[in-house]
Amino acid sequence: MFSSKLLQYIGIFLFAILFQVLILNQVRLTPLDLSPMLYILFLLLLPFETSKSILLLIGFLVGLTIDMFTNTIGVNCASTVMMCYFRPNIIFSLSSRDDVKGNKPTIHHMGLMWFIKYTLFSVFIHHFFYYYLEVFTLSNSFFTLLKIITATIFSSLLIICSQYFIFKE
Amino acid sequence: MLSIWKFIIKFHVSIFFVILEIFAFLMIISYNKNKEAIFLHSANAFTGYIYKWLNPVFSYFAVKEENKFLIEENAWLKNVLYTFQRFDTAKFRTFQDTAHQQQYLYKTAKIIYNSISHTNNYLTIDKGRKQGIEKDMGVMSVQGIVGIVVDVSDNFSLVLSVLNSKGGISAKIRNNNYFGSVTWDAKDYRYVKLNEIPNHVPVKIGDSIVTSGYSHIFPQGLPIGVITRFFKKGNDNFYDITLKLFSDLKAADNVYVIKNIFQQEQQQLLKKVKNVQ
Repeated sequence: MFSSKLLQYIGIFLFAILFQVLILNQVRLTPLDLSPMLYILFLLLLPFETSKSILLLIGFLVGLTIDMFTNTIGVNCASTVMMCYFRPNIIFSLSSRDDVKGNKPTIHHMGLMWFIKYTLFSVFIHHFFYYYLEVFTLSNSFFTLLKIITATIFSSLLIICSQYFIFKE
Repeated sequence: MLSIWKFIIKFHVSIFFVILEIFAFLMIISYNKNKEAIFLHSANAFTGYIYKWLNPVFSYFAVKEENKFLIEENAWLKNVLYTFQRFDTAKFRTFQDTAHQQQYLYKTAKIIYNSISHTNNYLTIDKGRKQGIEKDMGVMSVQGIVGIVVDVSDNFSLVLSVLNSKGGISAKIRNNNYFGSVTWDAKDYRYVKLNEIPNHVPVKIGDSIVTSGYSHIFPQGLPIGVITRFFKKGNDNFYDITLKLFSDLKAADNVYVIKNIFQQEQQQLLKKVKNVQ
């Protein structure tokens, strides 16, 4: 029982990383040349019961894996850890402990509206740190913010759509 | 002592979080300083092989475009070649050129990872130390310059793209030889900036910008781009010049790596002068 669940998450992990690296990183949305980020999905889908330290560690490793492929050492890492740190806060500000019990953080368990809010907040935190750390300066702040908002919309859309097409269960 | 343990146990998540963040920040900073400090980039063996294995799928779509450029380049080379031959045959004699010595060698390579969407972009090419690639070699596509090799592994190399805010390639205006440096402002992958051109210099829209050959990396006169916009900045004595790059880095696929045979000699000479000063 436990191992089949673990296998499932390893499957999602591999899918998210490979899809990100092999396909999405080759895509550039034209006005600002952004690549949508789907791999965050894996961190969003981890079960509610995951302990906070484990969550941080997984976030760190996932970020590092993506960084290795995109030559942005540490940038994805720092932002995924940041996102994982705030994940419990986002979850419990959107729902009570009773809602969460026995459920998974997916559209099918928690409903569309909940998932949209959850995704938007998490992705925004990730992208906010990602783009500011990548530029590593506060000059041109407005342009970076524009990038963050556009990227958040595209990544969130992709993550929400993936729930209907890929992870149907 | 007990209270310290209590504190650690109570806030262990936050402490762990801070440790991980510090670790990530240290990586960012050390990577910004020195590319070789951390060997976790896309030219390492693992990620390099994955990209190499995947490359045929993506380069398939670029074949048509690439062919067109190659034919254009071939035509240009043929023109140059026949010009020289005619010149030689008109003399009715062969002569040994003792003044000229070949300084630059060209090698082909293939881009297996490319990015244009970050602030600091790098490319990975499929040749490395074993194929004779070294640090500080120049990289150009058929259309124009692409970047500079910053690190090599056994079979792959990491190239600092022109589209990197940390880069700076020595360049000059072809018509009047005034030189400056080309940098990227991280906005549009088709445009870069030319800095350090004083505002008394005659500049026109459409002027070609080529490499200056002062940096020991690129030979003189390789195409970089054309001026599309320029204006005088307020109190500054320099122009703000925007160039359109000749090479389309979004579609670049096959590149030439340029080796400067005398690079070491030039650098040593420069070092000697600096030490004296």
